[in-house]
Amino acid sequence: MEKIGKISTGQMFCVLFLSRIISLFTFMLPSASYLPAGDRIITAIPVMLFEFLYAGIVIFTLKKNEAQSILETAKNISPNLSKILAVFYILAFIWFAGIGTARFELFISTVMFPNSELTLMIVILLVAALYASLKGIEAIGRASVILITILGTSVIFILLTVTGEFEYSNLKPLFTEGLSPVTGFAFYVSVRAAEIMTLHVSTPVINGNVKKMIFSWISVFAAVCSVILLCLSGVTGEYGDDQIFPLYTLTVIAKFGIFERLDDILTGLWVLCSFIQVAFLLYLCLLSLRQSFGKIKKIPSAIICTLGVFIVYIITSDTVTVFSETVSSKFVDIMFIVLIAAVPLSVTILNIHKRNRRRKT
Amino acid sequence: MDNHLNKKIPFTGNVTRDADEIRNYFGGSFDVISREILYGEIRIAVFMLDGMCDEIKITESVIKPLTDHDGKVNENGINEEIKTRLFKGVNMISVTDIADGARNIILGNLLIIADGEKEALAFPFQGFSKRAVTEPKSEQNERGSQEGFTDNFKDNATLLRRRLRTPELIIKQITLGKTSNTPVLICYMKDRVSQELLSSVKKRLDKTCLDAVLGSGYIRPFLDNRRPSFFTDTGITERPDTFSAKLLEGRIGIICDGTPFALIVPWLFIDYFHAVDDYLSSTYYALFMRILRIVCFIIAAILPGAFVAICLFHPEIMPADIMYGISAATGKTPFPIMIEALIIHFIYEIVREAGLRMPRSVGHAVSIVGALVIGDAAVTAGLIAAPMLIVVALTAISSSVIVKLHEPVAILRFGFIIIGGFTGLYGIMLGMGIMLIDICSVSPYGIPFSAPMSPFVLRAQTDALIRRSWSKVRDRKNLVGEMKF
Repeated sequence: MEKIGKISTGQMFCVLFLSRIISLFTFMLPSASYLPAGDRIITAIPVMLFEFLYAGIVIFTLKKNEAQSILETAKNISPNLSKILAVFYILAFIWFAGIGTARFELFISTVMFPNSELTLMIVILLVAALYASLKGIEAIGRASVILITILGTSVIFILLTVTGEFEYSNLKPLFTEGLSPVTGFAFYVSVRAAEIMTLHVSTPVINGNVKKMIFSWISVFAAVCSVILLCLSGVTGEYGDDQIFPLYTLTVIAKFGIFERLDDILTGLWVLCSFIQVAFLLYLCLLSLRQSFGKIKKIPSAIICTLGVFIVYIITSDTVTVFSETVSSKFVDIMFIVLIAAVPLSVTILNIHKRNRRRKT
Repeated sequence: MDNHLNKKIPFTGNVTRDADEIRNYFGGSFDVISREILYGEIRIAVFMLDGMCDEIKITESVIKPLTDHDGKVNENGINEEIKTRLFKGVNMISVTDIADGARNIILGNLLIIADGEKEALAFPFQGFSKRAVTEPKSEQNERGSQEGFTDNFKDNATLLRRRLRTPELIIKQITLGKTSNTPVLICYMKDRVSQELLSSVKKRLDKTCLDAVLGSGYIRPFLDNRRPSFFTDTGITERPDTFSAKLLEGRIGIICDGTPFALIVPWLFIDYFHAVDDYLSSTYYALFMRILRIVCFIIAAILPGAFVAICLFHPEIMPADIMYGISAATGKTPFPIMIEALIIHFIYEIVREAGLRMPRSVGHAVSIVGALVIGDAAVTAGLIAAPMLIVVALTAISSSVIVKLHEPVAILRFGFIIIGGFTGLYGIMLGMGIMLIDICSVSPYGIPFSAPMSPFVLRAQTDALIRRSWSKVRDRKNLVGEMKF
């Protein structure tokens, strides 16, 4: 049997953090329009609470299924069920990777090079991610540790350079329209956290205390988001509310010595985070296939999944803002709830039932 | 092809026949010297290779006792007489078949065949001319030892023994190459090496089904990771002190006869940025130098590509005055900037290769051609922009700082120029991501190539990026084994 690489909880923390941080970079105006401007800075906290709930489901299923992934557990019930579920999870991973790629292209084409052809860039991104996914989770995990160090240093550097521009008067009162917009927005953001969903599949490749890792990842991420959003509101104020990519605007404002544009640092980091995110999701596609179908042909499978990501990107690239906020919004909500809660809980209950029945006989 | 040296033909006891067999093995090679001596009434044939033996030693220890004999022969035969009386105290090996006898001659031993004896005697009187211990040319240093490995494996073993005076140092000899029969030494510290690592290295060496091993580079691919990667995880050193230090960390060293370059396994990425002088200077300076080397690696690999990307896609990054200057210079040249970068780097590689291969007597001519014709004249003629030449110069100097990484860096540089020329800095970032994944995906002998940085190994941080004080660095026993995940 082919050896499956494993990574430590620390490395998985870094992979998840880098993948998730993209959502902060792509904190777009249509999403923010849900909220009164003052409430934006505290959204990370309710999002965290929602994520704790999803994490609870992940941990519950892991505990009941003896640390097996959902697909492995489903295989105990019926190999065919496992295969069907694997297809759904793979499609979800491909969807999230495609949307992530489309958002990246939107950012580049809107902000950086409005007139340039970026398909080549996207192809290179996908080829690089394909290469990384084939190298395995160990390579992705180790690279993430190095990248998170670079990311942390760069973000701290950018935040330090804008502290001089921080105005308390830019901060607005909280909960001006009550709690419901915050809750609604928190739910909206949390169901787009594909990374939590990935834990249903990826746990067999993690060494160490998964429970501790998940909760620390969610908490640290919320803390980092809160600091960045606070800076964002304090520095950009109402100007930031009108920007498609407010964090990018923050980096445009940042200055350091003779370097008057630090936005390329952000874009560079975004490229690397996108690369890790797509590579991780492609790897999970391969892992899902292996967990459900047994031995697979790695390279052709990875190429097919990458093509799937490219197709999703092509479909959504021109209309990613409108598409992801309107047409696909309900679809994403349902898909997420089904794959994070409904399917894993059902599979776990069926597995417990089957196990009990076996014990009785 | 069947190797005739492997055929086992026993000695017959007839000197004429056995000597003819030996001569046949060498097919009339001019350097095979054979002499027949009469010891009393017994005929003795002596064989050796011209230039491979110490003739003075042979004359004094062999020829003289044989010719100045008293005619007495031990009742157990002439061989016993030689062993117990004539050459008393001289090391010797008993040889039973012709092939083994011929092999001993090749190794530089003296072979004696006597009438009536079905066993020949080989005496290790090797005395060939060899290069003296000199300064290691590829790893210069400021304050460390000035002794480098030589081409002779025995001298190299001596250099090693002089540094690690302990019976824990094990040096095992094996022979590789079906035809070349090259002696190869496997060196390790008995108390520090992981048995798993040792057996893995031995297994890989056993699998080297080469016809000839003419240098350590022949064995290197067999010890390297099997995944295709830009970076090799087998270290190479010309320095006995570096070699010894690595053995003390629980690594395994391979010395191959005929080359001063010894191999070290496993070799980690961070090792490329370490130098002997780091351990002989203050800790803060060592840290500075290591950071400098890492920066040089990044410059050598990425700077030309980043320069092309910035000029083509991101001119706003640079201060306006600098960018105007660059634009004015590059605008006058006939080639697009990416093509210009590729051409100039290709020329640089040609000049470098010429510098390595050319006879020293024409070195000045190449320097003049390189510096004046390519540098000055090309810029004056408007074929190449001066800023590009500055970038090339900086890249060349930086790559000289990390000589051991020249191979991957030279190739990656061209890759980054092409990516930067088509996709700008974001493509370069992606290229860096691929490079990072490539580095992180390798696990030589189960130890991550990117360790101890990722995965982070706290104990190894005493000598990773930072070289801490000796009181902290001193205990590095089986450090390599601890990095296994």
